[in-house]
Parts: sequence; C-alpha cells; structure tokens
Amino acid sequence: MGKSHAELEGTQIVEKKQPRSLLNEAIRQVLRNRLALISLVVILIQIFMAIFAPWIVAHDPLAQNLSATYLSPGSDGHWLGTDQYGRDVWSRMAHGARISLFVGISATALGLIGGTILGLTAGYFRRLDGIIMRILDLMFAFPNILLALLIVAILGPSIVNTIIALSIWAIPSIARILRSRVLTVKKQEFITAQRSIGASYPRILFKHILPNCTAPLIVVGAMEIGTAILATAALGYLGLGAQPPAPEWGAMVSEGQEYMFNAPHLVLIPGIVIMISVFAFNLFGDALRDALDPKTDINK
Amino acid sequence: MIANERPLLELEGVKKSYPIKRKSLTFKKDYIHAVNGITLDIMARETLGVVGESGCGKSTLGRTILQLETLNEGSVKFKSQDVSKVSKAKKMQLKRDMQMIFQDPYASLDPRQKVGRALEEPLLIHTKKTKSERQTKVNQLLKEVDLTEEHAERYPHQFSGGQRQRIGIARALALDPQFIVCDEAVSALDVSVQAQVIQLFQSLQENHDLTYLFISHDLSVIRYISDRILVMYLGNMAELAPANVLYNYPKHPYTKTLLSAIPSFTVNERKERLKLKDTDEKNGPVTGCPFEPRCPMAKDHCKTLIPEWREINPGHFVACHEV
Repeated sequence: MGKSHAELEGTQIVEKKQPRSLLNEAIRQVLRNRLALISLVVILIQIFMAIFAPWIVAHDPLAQNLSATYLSPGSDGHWLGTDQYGRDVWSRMAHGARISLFVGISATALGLIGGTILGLTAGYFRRLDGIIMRILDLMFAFPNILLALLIVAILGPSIVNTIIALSIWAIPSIARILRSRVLTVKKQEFITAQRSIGASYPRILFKHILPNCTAPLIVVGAMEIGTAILATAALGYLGLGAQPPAPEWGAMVSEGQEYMFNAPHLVLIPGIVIMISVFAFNLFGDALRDALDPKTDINK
Repeated sequence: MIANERPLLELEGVKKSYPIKRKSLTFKKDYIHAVNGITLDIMARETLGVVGESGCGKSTLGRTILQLETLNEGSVKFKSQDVSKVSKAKKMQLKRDMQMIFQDPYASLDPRQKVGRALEEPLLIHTKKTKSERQTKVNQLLKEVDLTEEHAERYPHQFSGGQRQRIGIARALALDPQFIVCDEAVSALDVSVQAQVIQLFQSLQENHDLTYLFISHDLSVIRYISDRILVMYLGNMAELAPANVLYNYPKHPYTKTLLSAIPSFTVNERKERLKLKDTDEKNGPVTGCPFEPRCPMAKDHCKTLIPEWREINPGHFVACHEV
C-alpha cells in the first residue's frame, strides 16, 4: 500500500465544514427563519420585561390611586391606562411577565425532569414500559385543566402550587415523546456497538441515548412553556393561581371583565399579551423542531 | 493450522429462536429458528467466512457468539470457557477479547460523539489508563487504520463511508481483541473502498494475530478473505470447506446454486445458472432437510430424514443426502 487510504479516498471529504454543535446549528437555522426570529424577539422582550420590571416602570404595580381610576391607554403618565383601583396597567403587565415566565419556565423545567426520567425508563426498560405508560395514559385521560384544577384544589391556590400542578400536567406528553425517541435510538446499531464493547446501562443511557434525544426535548420544552403560560393565566382567571392583588395576567383579565364595557383595555391588554406570548413560544418551538429535526441534521 | 491445537472458539449445537406470534387462544408460541444447531470450531488466526442469503441467521450467529443475543440451546466456548457461564469479571474480559465490526458505518457510530471520544470509550470502560495514555492509544489506533490525529476532533458525519468503517475497525481494535466478528463489514461500501478495507483487515490480522468470523452475502469478498467458508441455509449448516475447495468443488445443491449466481464477465465462460424452486414455505419442513422445499435435487427421503453432517473429504463437511 503505497499511499495511505486517507489520501487515496478521503481528501475531498477531509476539508469539509467545521464541526458544528447542535446548538450552533439550531441558532443558525432559527436566524434564517423570519417568523422564528420575530417570535424569538417577542420572547426576549418578554424576558427583558420580566427581569427589569422594577426599573422600566414608573409606578408600583400594587399602588392604588383612587383619584385616577379607569384611565384609558395613552393617558398622561399611564400609557396603558389604569384599572378600577387606579393601578398602572403597564406596571402590572411588566410585573405580570415575571409571574408568567417564572411559572412557565419552572413548571416546564420540572416537567422536563420528571418526563425525562419516566420517558427514559419506559423506553429503555421494557418491563417498566407497560406500567409507566398506563399511568401516563390515565393522566392523559383527564382533561388537562381539570387535572391542574384538581391538584391546585388539593394543595390550595398559590404560585408554587400552580407550578407543581403545571409540571405534573406537562409530564405525560414529555415522557411520551421521549419514550418514542428512546425506542428509535435504542434500536440503532451504535447502541449495539456500545454493548459489544461492554458499556454499562447507565453509560449507554446517559452518554449515548439521552444526548441523541435532546432535540425533541428542546422542542417540546419551548412549546410547553407557552402552554404553561396559558394555563397559568387560565388558573389565574379562575382564581386558583396567583392570588390578588398579585399582577397576574389571567387574574387581570378576570378582574377586568366586570368593567369590560367601560374600560375594555383592562381585558384586552392582558388578553392580547397572553395570546402573543403563547403564540411566540409555539412558533419558536415549531421553528426549533424544523431546525433540530434529526432527519435533516444528524446524518447530513 | 496445526492439527492438535485447541480451537479458539468452539460452538456446540448453538440454537437461537425468536417468538413470532402468539396464537391468542392457545397461548402457544410459534418460533422462528434463526440459528438452528451450529456446531463449529474456529481456530486461532483463521478467517472463517459465513455466507448465506439474507435472513439465514448468519448475523444472529455472530451476535450470539458475542453474547449480544442470548442463545437458547448449545454452548459457545472461547478458549475452553463457556461464555454464558462465566463470572462477571471474566465476562468483561471476554468483551475485550471478542469484538464486532458492523455493517452500516453510518449507524454504528454515535452521531453526537466525536471520533476521538468514541475510540476512547472502550479504554474508559475497560482500562485504568490516564488521559494522556488514552490519547496516545487513540492516536495510535487512528494511525493504524490510516487516519490521522486531526480526525479525532471530527464528528462521524464528516467522514466518508470507508473512513467511517475504519473508525469502526479502530474502535474494535482498541482493546486488543483476539476474535472479531465482521458482520457484513464491507457490504455497505463502494467496491473500490471495499478492496482497501479488506486489505486493511488482512494486514491487521497479520499484525495482531486476529481471528475473524467474516459474515457476508458477497461471494467474491468471502472467497478473497476466508480460509474456510461455512454456507448457511435457514439457520442450518449446509456446507463447510476450505475456501478454494468450496469454490471449485461445491457439493451441496444450495452452494452450487449460490456459486452459479456469481455473474461472470467473460462471454465464453458462460456458466449454466442453476435455479431454485420457488416456494413460500421457506421455513422448511420440520421433519426433513430444511432445504428440501427449494432443492432441485430433492428426493422423497429428503422430506422425512434430516441429512447428517458428514465429512466427505478431510475438512469438507456437507449436510445432504444426495452427495
């Protein structure tokens, strides 16, 4: 063998594109998609609002001013108007973003942890598959909002309990998606190859199967945040989430509906913001799904 | 091959079957016998080729030897110890001694793992080498399969098929094994690349005293690389002979048909193509010769008697009544 094999065969491939990580690739894809970019900007604005709420508003969200109630948007000093107690709507919206995002993200994070554990176990260990999936089916059979109501009703209405309820709500769908992905990955030859070199179960599970399941997890995570924000608002609207006078978007809609005809902005503003925010997370999740689709990226 | 040498690997009546469907009322399971009684010795440093049509159980045989599948009956002995009855520590040693190279180089490497990492992993699992020692070994492995150190930092999808298969080979070599199952190891590659990889297999065999079980459906590849060849039909052994004997003097009708199917490139040398009978009943009769339903030479007694595994010439075994 005169020349090495690499020279004979591989020269044209050797200088291929630099290794790109999953994250890099995803960011690149998302930036190329205009809708995804817009949704990302909306999400970032929301995060900005949540983090800097106390510094970007002029009024305390809880401060009442009974001499300036029901001000319309565009009023002097209150560009989104005031509510029935004269509280600044803009300030309440900004602080509400804190609650929504905090609940949405932490419920999703907890749901991802629980769903990952259950999904990995069900997908990898066939003996436990039946039991775990039947329990999840049972949870699926409940209407989601009813399940959340039930949990909050048992635990009592509060933000922490909302998070617990919503994370339990998120677990079944996350676990299912992960399980099906694990079932696919586990059948691939590189897993057999790992077994043949004597890799232990934990090693195969956490170093080979889980990393190959991250894409669907990220996608479902992004979507789940949107769902959780909506659910937080729903629970808030029903009076089972954050308790008044906390500036929670759903609770604001609920409080504002009494005055819907005199001061429609009290309902419209939080309503529209909830919609935009959920829409943004769903769009973003969709874009991520395209960007991270294993069929289009892994073996390319 | 020295006659009184102990074989490296001894297979004794190895059977592996899978349940296919359960008849709901009777709870009786039907089985498909993927490997149906293989008895075989593999000597150190030889290459035993296994051929057969797809679904004949050749891959299952390889996987069963490596304990990736549990066997139902029979035994596999590596250096005289039964692989299914060893202690846990010994089992790990067996995993080091016996390795596998897979058919699809695209699927057999973790797409999320850099190549250097993939080669390091067997060392992490089995040895207590330090990081720099592992690094040295990885570089040495890459060199051995004609890749370079820079390749360690790349992901599998950045390589060509042939290169990827070399990475698979390097991974199998990482633990200095003695026995390697090559499961259709070159079938997914272009013909030009096939030749290089086969040469690599041969030079590695010389340098590392390797023993191969080389599984393929490609008759020319098998002929080129094997010392002895086993022909399998539906999980059964049909014929076993040294490579040149098998190609020049095939005895079993199935072997003859297989060989007649090799395309010939010279006009004058046109061979008569033997044909198999078509049948749906591929599972074969329970009582007789498994090949009987498709055999062009079948006689009545083939339906009722299972042919014996006979040595018709030294080293040439065949299972057929009509030979």
